[in-house]
Amino acid sequence: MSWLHDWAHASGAFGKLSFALLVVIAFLAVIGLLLLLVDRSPKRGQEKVQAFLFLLPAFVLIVIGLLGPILTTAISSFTSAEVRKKNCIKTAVNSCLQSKGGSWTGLDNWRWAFGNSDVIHALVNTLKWTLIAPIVATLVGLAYAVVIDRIRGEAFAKALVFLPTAISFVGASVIWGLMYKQPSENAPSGLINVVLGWVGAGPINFPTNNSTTTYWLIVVMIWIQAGFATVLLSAAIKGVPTELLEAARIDGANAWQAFRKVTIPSIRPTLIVVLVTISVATLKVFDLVQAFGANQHGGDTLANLMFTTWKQGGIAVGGGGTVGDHHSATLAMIIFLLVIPFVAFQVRQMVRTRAGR
Amino acid sequence: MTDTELVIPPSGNAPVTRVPVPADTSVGRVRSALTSRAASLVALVIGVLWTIPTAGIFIQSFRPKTEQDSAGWWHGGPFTLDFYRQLTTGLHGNNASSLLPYITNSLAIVIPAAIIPMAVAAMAAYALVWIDFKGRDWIFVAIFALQVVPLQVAAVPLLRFVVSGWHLGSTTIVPSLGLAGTVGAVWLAHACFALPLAVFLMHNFMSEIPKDILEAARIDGASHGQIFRTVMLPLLRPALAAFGIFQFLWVWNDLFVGSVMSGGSDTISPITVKINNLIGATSGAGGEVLPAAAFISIVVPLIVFLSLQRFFVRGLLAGSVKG
Repeated sequence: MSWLHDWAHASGAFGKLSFALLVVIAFLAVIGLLLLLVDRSPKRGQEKVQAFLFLLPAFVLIVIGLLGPILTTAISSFTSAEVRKKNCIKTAVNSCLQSKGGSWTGLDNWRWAFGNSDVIHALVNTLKWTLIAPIVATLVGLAYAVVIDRIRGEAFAKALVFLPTAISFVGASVIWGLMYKQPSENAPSGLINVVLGWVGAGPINFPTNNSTTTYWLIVVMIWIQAGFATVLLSAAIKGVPTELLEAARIDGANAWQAFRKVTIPSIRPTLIVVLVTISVATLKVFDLVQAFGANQHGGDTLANLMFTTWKQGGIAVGGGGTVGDHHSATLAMIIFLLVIPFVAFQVRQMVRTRAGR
Repeated sequence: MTDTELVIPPSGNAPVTRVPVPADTSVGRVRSALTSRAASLVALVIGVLWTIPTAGIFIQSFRPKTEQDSAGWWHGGPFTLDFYRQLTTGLHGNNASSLLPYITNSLAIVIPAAIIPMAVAAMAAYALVWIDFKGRDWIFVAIFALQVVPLQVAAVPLLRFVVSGWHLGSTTIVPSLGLAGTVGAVWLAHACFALPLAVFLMHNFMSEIPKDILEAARIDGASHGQIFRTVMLPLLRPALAAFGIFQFLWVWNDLFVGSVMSGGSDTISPITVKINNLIGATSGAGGEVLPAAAFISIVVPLIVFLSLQRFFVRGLLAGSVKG
């Protein structure tokens, strides 16, 4: 099987891509085999067995990738890390382990989290993100969806604002790094500082001004998410029943009143979907903070702190994990707790919608 | 998804399509009042504001270092292709800073990461919609609810699983998969994380397919496996396309999973991880290549997005619940 190992670790472009294709083909072959197995099982009466076989691959992936990990992370947030002996050099016979870790420590990790100023700072920043970004992005998206509705070139106008959705957060960081560029001896100012200069404001000192870092990052998030809001809200606006708007006009409502009293209530479900979706994405914001190095400038968020805590934790000797592992697991669990209400809401809506069908 | 209106119809048409209203109806008048000159101005301002940043990086990526250092991108040329050459085929015979290996990595990740959950979710959704067994509604709701698990919670344990398998005490339950140090670690993570959304999308789509089609096939003696292959898969094509493009963009643009699962190894890092490292490495000097590098990294998703926007929008409308 060593040829397979070599192929999997291929460094050339051809090797990598051909192995990816091999994986896909092998996987589809397994699925095909499973379907054959389904065909072999009795056709009547044994529906349960067939359903099981159909669900099996999804079940395996969900256990590996979602259920197993969340259990591990939850346990990790309530257990201790391994302890190494001080001033000990690791050798083949001496692993330097004093304690393998993994014993229950109750809320110790959680107490660490809520007593740590970095964590509190990241938590506050995350809440700022979640309060500002979804609302502003949705408002911009709504305003844009309304003003471009049925104008000539609507599709083009929509594409302009929608385009950032296809751009990665890392790409967006480069793009906005240029926009925010601070004037210096060997580089001209970014556009934002130039424009602010015209009105006598600025420069914004991004990202070194710790008190504003988060807000300038939120601007980028809004830039990315507004297009998503536009597309969804635009579709919803087109779905507002014509008769309702006509009736409002006959009753003497002006355009603004018709919009407030008819359009908004009709698109309310979509507005909520947009808000909830952007909120969940915002709670996990990581890429922007990471790419801008904003954690060094007062702009840390929970998701980024979780990553840096894990990364700096180093590799554990035994199975107990480092302190960083356990602390980052706790931070991940905090994000999990924050996401729960939003997803619970989505689940409730979905169950309701299905009941209504 | 909370609104039945946004569920994709099996015909594959865009959701919520209504016949356009001519401007001379009441609605038209409401709109034309709203779409006054002020409204057009708002549209123009937002449109321009949203385009300037991308246009800026595009122009900047063609300007030589001396230009970048002396004036803003809005001053224009002269232009050069040197950075693009340096970052792809190499400049003066030196291709050490080529981004192509990372583009390859991204492709090697994105292909399995999009196709595997497609197949798995289509099968699962088939069982949940068309095979009658007790508790299937609960299983569906449970899978949907799994979107609550943030990547931050799942990624690190999954990495540990990939590297060393599962152990209970000293008993090995699942051995190491041998995927450590390969892109397998990255796409396996993406494939698992995408499942709740994929199952949800396929389930929505399949429940719209008329029951008669399936019952007719059953009466003809076709098994579930045959029906899935020959009847369902062709009908599912629009849903598969919508999810595939959605997942493609998501995986290509992801930084978190790529950073965790690649473990910092250059040989399997996707392009986003490379660009992120490049931002850090060039903060002192060498930043002149960054605009071109960023543009190279976004050009593939941009092409996919612009050519297949229709499908992507459909996927978004139907599945705007991905966490």
